[in-house]
Amino acid sequence: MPAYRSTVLLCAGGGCISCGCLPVREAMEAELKRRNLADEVRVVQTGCVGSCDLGPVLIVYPDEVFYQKVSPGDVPKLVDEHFLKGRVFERLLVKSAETDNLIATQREFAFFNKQVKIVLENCGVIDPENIEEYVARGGYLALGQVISERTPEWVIEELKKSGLRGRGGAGFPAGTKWDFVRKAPGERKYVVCNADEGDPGAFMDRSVLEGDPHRVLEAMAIAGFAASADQGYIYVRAEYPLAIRRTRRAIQQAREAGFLGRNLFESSFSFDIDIRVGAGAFVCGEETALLASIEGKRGIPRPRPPFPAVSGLWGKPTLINNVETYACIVPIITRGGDWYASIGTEKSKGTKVFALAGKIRNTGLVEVPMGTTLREIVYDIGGGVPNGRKFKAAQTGGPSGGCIPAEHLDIPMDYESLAKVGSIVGSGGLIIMDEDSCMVDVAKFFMEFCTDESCGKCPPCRVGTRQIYGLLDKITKGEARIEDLHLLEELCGMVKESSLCGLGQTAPNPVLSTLRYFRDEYLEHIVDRRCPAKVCPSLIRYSIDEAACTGCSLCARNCPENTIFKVEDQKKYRIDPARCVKCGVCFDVCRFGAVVKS
Amino acid sequence: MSEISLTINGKQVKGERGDTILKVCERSDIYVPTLCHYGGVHEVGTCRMCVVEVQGGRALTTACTTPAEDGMIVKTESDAIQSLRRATLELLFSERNHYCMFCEASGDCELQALAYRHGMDSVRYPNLYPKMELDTSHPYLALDQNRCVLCRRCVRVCAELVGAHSLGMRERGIETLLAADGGEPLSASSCVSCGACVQVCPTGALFDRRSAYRGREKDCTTVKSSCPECALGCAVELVARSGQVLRVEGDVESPENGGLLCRRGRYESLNGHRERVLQPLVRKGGELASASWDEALAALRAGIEAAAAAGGAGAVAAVASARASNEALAALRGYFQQKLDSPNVGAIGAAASPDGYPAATLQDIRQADLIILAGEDAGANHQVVEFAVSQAVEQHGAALIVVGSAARRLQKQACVVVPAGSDEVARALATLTAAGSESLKRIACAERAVFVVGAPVTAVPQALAAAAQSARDGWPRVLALAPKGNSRGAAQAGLNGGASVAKGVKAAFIMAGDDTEMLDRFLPQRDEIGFLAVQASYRSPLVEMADVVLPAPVWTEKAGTMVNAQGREVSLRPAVAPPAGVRDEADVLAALSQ
Ligand SMILES: Cc1cc2nc3c(=O)[nH]c(=O)nc-3n(C[C@H](O)[C@H](O)[C@H](O)COP(=O)(O)O)c2cc1C
Ligand code: SF4
Ligand code: SF4
Ligand code: SF4
Ligand code: SF4
Ligand code: SF4
Repeated sequence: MPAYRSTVLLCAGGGCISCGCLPVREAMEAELKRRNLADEVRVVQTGCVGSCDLGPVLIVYPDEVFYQKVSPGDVPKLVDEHFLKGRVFERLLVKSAETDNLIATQREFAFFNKQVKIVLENCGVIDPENIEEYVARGGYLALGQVISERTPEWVIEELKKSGLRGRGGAGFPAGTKWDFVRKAPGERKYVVCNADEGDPGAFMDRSVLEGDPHRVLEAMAIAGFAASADQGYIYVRAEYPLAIRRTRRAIQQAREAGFLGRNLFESSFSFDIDIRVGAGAFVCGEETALLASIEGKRGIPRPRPPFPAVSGLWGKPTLINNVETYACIVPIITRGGDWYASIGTEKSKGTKVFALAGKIRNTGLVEVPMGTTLREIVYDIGGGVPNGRKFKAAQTGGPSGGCIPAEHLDIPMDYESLAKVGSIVGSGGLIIMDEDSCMVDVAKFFMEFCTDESCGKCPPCRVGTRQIYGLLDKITKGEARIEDLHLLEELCGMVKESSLCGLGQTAPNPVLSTLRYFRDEYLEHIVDRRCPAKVCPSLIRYSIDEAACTGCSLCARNCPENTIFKVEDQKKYRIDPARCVKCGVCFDVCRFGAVVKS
Repeated sequence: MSEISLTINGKQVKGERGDTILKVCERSDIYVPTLCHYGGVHEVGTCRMCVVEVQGGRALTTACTTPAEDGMIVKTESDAIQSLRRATLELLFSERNHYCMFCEASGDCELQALAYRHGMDSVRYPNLYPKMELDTSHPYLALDQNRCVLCRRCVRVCAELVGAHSLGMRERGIETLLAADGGEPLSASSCVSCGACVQVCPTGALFDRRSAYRGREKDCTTVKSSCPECALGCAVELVARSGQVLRVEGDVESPENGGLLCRRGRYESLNGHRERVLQPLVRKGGELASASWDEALAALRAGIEAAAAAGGAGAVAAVASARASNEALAALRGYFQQKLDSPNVGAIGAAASPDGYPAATLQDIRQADLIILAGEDAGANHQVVEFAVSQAVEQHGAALIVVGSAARRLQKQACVVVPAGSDEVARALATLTAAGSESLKRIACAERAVFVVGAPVTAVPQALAAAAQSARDGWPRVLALAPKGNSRGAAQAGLNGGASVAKGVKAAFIMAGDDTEMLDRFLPQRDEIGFLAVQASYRSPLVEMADVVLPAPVWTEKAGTMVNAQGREVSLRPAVAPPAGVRDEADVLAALSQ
């Protein structure tokens, strides 16, 4: 390999690809060639860096200078400044949220420097399509060691010591699960990786497969060794074509390199992996539904027991873990369970990747030690709530989770603490809401999701979620009575207790937790027929403040219903409330703040 | 099997390892409400009615899917459990159209009964009432999605017991819908019209078209009888009201067919639109005319005695179909063999069982690990056998070898198929199981080998013997199928099956003349036979050519016994009285003998 002076890491995660990083790469390569720098500066396309709202993103090593929102047109100037003149190109740097100062390097950027990367350590650093880069960073060493020098018992012992818990939602101790599968009677066993990632806000699994697929393959092979399985399946949703492509390529490369296939490391242990592409129903992420889907049946959950560890794929003992769970395995094997257990809290070990989204300045993937407070994530890493609005609540765990109000901002983000306030870590979705969010509307949004995603097998979920949705809808329309609130609570409890699988059992959580912290807001909708956040269309009114109205007529021209008319003999406009459909266009278009929402 | 003991509702009860909690409750007569549970098919735990509390468990669990464990402490009733069950019912009632007063099933509906039992007297949620289709395309059964609770009993029964796999679910969530072959009208689907789904549906969603709205079960009488349509003699229950048979149901208590029937037994025998013979007929001046029983019997006696007088006893023949009951056949022999001394008394389709093998029951077939089906189209002729074979193969992993060209559906499930025409089947079987062959080894290794064979194989005993010799002691069990409902009984009565009408016969009496084989046999010979008397239930070309016609009851109107293919005696019992002018076949002949 020639020695390069610099390496340009170009993020090619899903987010950056969609905002145009590939043309930037072409421009960069062309420009480097034109300036005769092609031998000195190397361009590497990596997996997701995490700061998705800033893409396309470039990081230039060895200085770790972090450039954001780079367009192909910026490239000649950037090459000129950075590589020829040796200066940082300031126009493309990030600005600090607090101080407005420019941030030159990744290290200085709070979004990164508060994170601890284990799962994502290679994402954004290596070229995921090149197995050599993975191997160069110690890849497949753990597998080789385990096969040649260790026993399955040793692996499971380390895993138990690490305290790693499943990252797919339920948080079941991984070591215990591996042990179950190892001890389950049966000749044939399987290892399955759950990459269905149905939680609409989460994308860490996708990022790992896109950015560092070999880490998952290696972990699955180690799992195969520990559980004495010789076949693995990765179940990915079809909406993740890039993850599928890169994982396929990685499997191919690993087979060619002898890391997958027969007699690995000249031992008697054989292990191979295939990909199964799922149609992308949320419920297919539930383990029994997922297994049915791999078997070619309808992806519908079944009651447990039997658990997959005893009777899974084709009735055989099956180990099923989430992508992020597998992504922790190699570091645990190489650095030891005790090392991993030193990170995090007493009962929640290691790190967790959260997908930060919503009303927050920096969105994207953040990996932090378990127990990091919500405040640190929101303010230090996330840069706080933009536009001078106030933090209202954070929704964790997506549609199965709950909300955490401002009063609990200092809560440590770990399994136990979140459970205590009625939420869950779940898959790691973290949506920040500000004062403009109506909590009833938020609950209704999640309930609609669950209603659509219910597989329809059991009545509590199939009919119950629909009736819950109906009650919430009534509340947001100002048509509910106080008895409806009681019925809602009763029904939520029933659906939680009676449903067959986790989808139904957790579907009421967003309602129950918003009721717990924002009951007054529900009551305002019901008793006062008012939506305090001014979100629910039926409960708000638009009117024009005549003092502020300049008579520009913009609102009247944009109103789809033609309900805005000119007041006779005056240069003022007025809205006919009877015909207003509350679309809010006038509010959005008025440049003088004359349209008032109340 | 080892015994386990549990504490349920504070009481010590016993169960067996492998039982579910529900099974233990059933054994000890502890009521647990269920809706989706159906004995014999796998549990799905969807309806959530059987939720119970297990001490130390994380949450409530369904009794039907949770294995019972020794020492378990279970509570099946509590206020909380009760209210969850009521809430589930309330949701089901709010989902689709359950206005019972317009429903076929009202009074016999399990959902309705559960609602009463749990005191669910109002529904506090708006009725969702999606517009759902009614599938009335099928001649015998109908599907009203508006009453379906998506319990999937029908789906499981159709797949696991019948092996047809015609039903399934489509769409998701609240849009979930029962569908035949993914959305075909039932009539255009792969449904084999066995009616099992209708029988197990707990609500008014799948219903029998003929008996719809004609009475609740408590208004009807139910009589256990046996289907005479083929040599299996499946156990049935005849449901009747006001002198009419409304429907035929499979007898779920039968260890043999266990409630399953085929299209022929459940539907076709009731739904014929043929004209009944309601009075004796006598040919007068070339035309058949109504007559009194006395007149008809006198004409019969006269015709027969004239032939005997002219040509001796050999000029008289009596032929029955082997679907006639033992009692009717005995009466036939009583008059013609014993009284008139005719040498020409026979039963078409009489067939003895092959000697030397224990008869295979349907139970044996379902539990077999190797099935050899040779020379028999079970799908067409004895469909309930086909269901049992499918069940063994698909649900329990039995190996199936098919010899012969028939049995199309089963060919798909077979591991070996040797096509052969019916005259080559015996030879093909012999070749397949020749000394040293793979198949012979297979038979030797099998723990429970069962042969299901048709006439072409029973006709060549050596072929069967060669194939069977390697099997372990007491095996193979053989189900030799026979052409008619009472083939075995007829053979045991000494009647031979070949009885074509001998040369010189001048008068013939035909019993059970509705059998089409009778027709085929007598049509060409009609002119040689001077006098023809027919006992039949329906008008037919054979009846039209007779000189005397004696109306006979149909099977749902008569008593008697038959011997089925396995050599087991099965009974016919009347569910309704025959029409006024119709007399029992045996009684009529007994009267003649006097
Ligand atoms: C409705 C539903 C959806 C789920 N979706 C996912 C998913 O997308 N990815 C995942 O890893 N686990 C998902 N799970 C959890 C899995 O059932 C299972 O617990 C998990 O894959 C086990 O892996 P872990 O122990 O590594 O977490 C889901 C569960 C439910 C009930
Ligand atoms: S809880 Fe919902 S998703 Fe799960 S089995 Fe029941 S209907 Fe299907
Ligand atoms: S199916 Fe049952 S509950 Fe529904 S309307 Fe008919 S009788 Fe009533
Ligand atoms: S009638 Fe028989 S074959 Fe047809 S759908 Fe019902 S169970 Fe299946
Ligand atoms: S048709 Fe009847 S048996 Fe079938 S799912 Fe519906 S209610 Fe159940
Ligand atoms: S299989 Fe034979 S006995 Fe059974 S129902 Fe069908 S015709 Fe009747």
